[in-house]
Amino acid sequence: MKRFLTTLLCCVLLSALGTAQAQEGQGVTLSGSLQTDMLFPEVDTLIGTPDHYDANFLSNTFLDLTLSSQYVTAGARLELLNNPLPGFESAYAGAGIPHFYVTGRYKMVELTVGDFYEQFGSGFILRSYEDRPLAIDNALRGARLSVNPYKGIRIKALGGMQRKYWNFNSSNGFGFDYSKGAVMGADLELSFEEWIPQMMENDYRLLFGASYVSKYEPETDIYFGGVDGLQRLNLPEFVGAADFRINFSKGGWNVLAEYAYKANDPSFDNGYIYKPGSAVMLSASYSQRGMSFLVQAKRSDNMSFRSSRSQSGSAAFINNLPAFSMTHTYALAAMYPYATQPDGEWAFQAEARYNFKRGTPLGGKYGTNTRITASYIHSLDKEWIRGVGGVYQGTDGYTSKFFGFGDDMYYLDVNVEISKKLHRTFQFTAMYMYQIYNQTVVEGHMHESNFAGAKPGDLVKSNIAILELVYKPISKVGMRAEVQYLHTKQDRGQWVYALYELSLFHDLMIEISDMYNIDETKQHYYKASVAYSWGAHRVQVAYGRTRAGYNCSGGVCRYVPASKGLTVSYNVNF
Amino acid sequence: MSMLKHFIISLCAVVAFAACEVIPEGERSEPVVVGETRRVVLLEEFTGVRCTNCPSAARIAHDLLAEYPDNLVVVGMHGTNTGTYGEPFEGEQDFRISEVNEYFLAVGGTPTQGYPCGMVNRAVSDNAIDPDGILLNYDVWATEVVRALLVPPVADLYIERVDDASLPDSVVKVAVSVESLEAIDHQVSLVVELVEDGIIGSQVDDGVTNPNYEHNHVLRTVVNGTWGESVTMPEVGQTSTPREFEITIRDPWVKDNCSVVAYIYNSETRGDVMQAAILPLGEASTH
Repeated sequence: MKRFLTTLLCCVLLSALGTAQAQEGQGVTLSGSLQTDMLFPEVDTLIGTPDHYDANFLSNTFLDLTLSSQYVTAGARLELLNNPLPGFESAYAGAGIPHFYVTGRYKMVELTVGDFYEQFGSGFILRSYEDRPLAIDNALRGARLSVNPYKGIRIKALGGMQRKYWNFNSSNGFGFDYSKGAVMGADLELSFEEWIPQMMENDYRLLFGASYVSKYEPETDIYFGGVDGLQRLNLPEFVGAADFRINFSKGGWNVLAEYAYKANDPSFDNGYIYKPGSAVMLSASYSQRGMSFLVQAKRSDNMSFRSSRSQSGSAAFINNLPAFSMTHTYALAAMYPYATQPDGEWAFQAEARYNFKRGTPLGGKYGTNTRITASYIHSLDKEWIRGVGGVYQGTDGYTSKFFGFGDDMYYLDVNVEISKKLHRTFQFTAMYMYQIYNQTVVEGHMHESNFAGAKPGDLVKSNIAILELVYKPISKVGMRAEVQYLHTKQDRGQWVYALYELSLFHDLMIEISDMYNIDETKQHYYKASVAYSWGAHRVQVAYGRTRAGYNCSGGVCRYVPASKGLTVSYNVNF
Repeated sequence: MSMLKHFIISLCAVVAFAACEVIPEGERSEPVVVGETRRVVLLEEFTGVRCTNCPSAARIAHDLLAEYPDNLVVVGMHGTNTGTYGEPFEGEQDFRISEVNEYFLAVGGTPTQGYPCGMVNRAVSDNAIDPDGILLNYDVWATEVVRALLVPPVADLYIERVDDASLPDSVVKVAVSVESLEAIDHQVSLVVELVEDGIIGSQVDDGVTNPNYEHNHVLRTVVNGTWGESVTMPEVGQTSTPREFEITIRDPWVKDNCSVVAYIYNSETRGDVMQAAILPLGEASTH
């Protein structure tokens, strides 16, 4: 704890120095951010916390520093995660500088050496990124070359080793451990409107993109049993994947079509089958002032693509399959978040927004905003193949008709939302949502409900109603209240949630909330917090209980165990 | 334009270098032969009745037992460490025991660790879920078992039934002895357990609850304490004086379906099982 506070103090002083340095016109500028989240945990077995903690103090702390000049940018990140917050995998714990880079740019060329993030297209074959709440950091350590040789042409080539927690140790200080695999790739994007003036003049845009990614991983011994005895798999050391996309837009219209293919990639995720993977997506949207809509469909099949074939959990993904379910921010609407299934799914999503203008019958004095969204995700139709010894390993695994639907619904979500200002000081938002969530598929097990009237099953069917009120009597004072109700006969039954938030002078925010399970546990998950902002700084102190559940973003989820205690968060950007 | 041409050529070079290997059908696997050995490997699986993928892992363990019936001991461990995986179904037996929680925590298990996972000889492996850890996904159990079988044992274990007319039917007595095959330079501990096969009950299997699933190798009790007891290894080629253990068969356990498992491990690392043995209670001895 003492060492942590000393390091934190140094980080704060550094950030103060950086704030003083970051002035326009300087040859070199220092910028960055400091983020620290701390928990002083308490045991509360009523809500399922562990019956003891190894440390009295848990924290995740990140300090990012960037030095920038006209031609060169250099950066590094210090991470202090010796005792991370609850729910992170044990390999996540560690401390050091796992991320550093130097980028040089001159005319049409940019070269980065060190750690970097990159995405090709929608991420079907390459997406390296950082998401701290999800403990995702799959940065590549190597080199990336970006070239814009001519207007409308963008070329990228990259190669490196993928970060997997703290795979940099005393015998591998720079992280170049080739026994753990490597990733290489290239991407080409052509913007036709840059060459055809008539297109630009008439607001037409046409983009064509093509990408290729290959991963190298040395062969290892993977055995499997069967009636014919033990077999050793002959594993491919190079696995390649390609992606093609076309994006056309005209005015408010936009259409995207994308296809990705991955060659045989036997792994733990797919049960060591040799079936190639594929993903296809079609998306159309239109937006103009006052209205917009979006419809899209995606079919992904066996597209889990990792740099380590035996890896499970959230680490070592080379790609990321876009989420086709809406990420909800209201507490009860986010209780059952969907995680994209890497072994395959059909997914559909639609959204429509409309603003009834003020002065119209439905718009009233200030206008009315409406939104309808829907998501539907289903399993693929698979016919399994048995091979040597009567097992699937070593075979193509299954055949799957393109338009075939399997037996399992994975997720359904339909919600309607209305936002309206009734007075210059008062507005409300009301939302209704119907949701079906396959708990066995997403979480790996079904909760055996234990309350009167329960109807346990794999599918959790919920009706959710939400009302949010915002009242701002004067410019320096604002109040917000939420009331939410979730009704279901599965899992743990009904929930109710209430929140009250008071903001003062734009800087101070006080919040109290409570989530209560009506049917099964009858536990309150209360929380009170105070947050204060000044300049680029923000600090928040909170105390209360956190329910066990899933934290999701972009279709990727992390299980968060129950916890209780005092939390302190501080962040600053400079 | 010359620069453009150079960069496109470079790009093609990258793509060419980034090869792709397609393995045709018929070349994807080859048979493996493990010769005769005295080595007996211990495979311990963390499992649960509501763990939808655990039956798949159990089938892999079963395949391995069929392949190496005399060289593998499987123990199925039910604990409370990870959420609701082990919650018993209403009216059915609760297989969870507290010792499993201690084993799970000792090898780095966390509340977010998914089931099933397992350990082979509680040995550190580069195939582990965490780098240089012990917990293994079930796809590598066969790999790790074969690797362990290829290492000659440094010791051997023997279990014998002891007939004692003074004991009630519900109590069985066994004698366990150890033999040193090579010199051992670390402290050794002995653990004696009871497992039961053939328990019919509910199990979630690939999303479907099967009410008539046959649970095997269920760890019922650890006889001599969670971490066992220290043993003094005899001289090389010698066998120790047998230690006797009395085991009470509690209701609803079925004695005829039970087996005694014993293993010795490195006390200093709290892992690295050196040898294991299993004696079905219907048999007299492991010799």
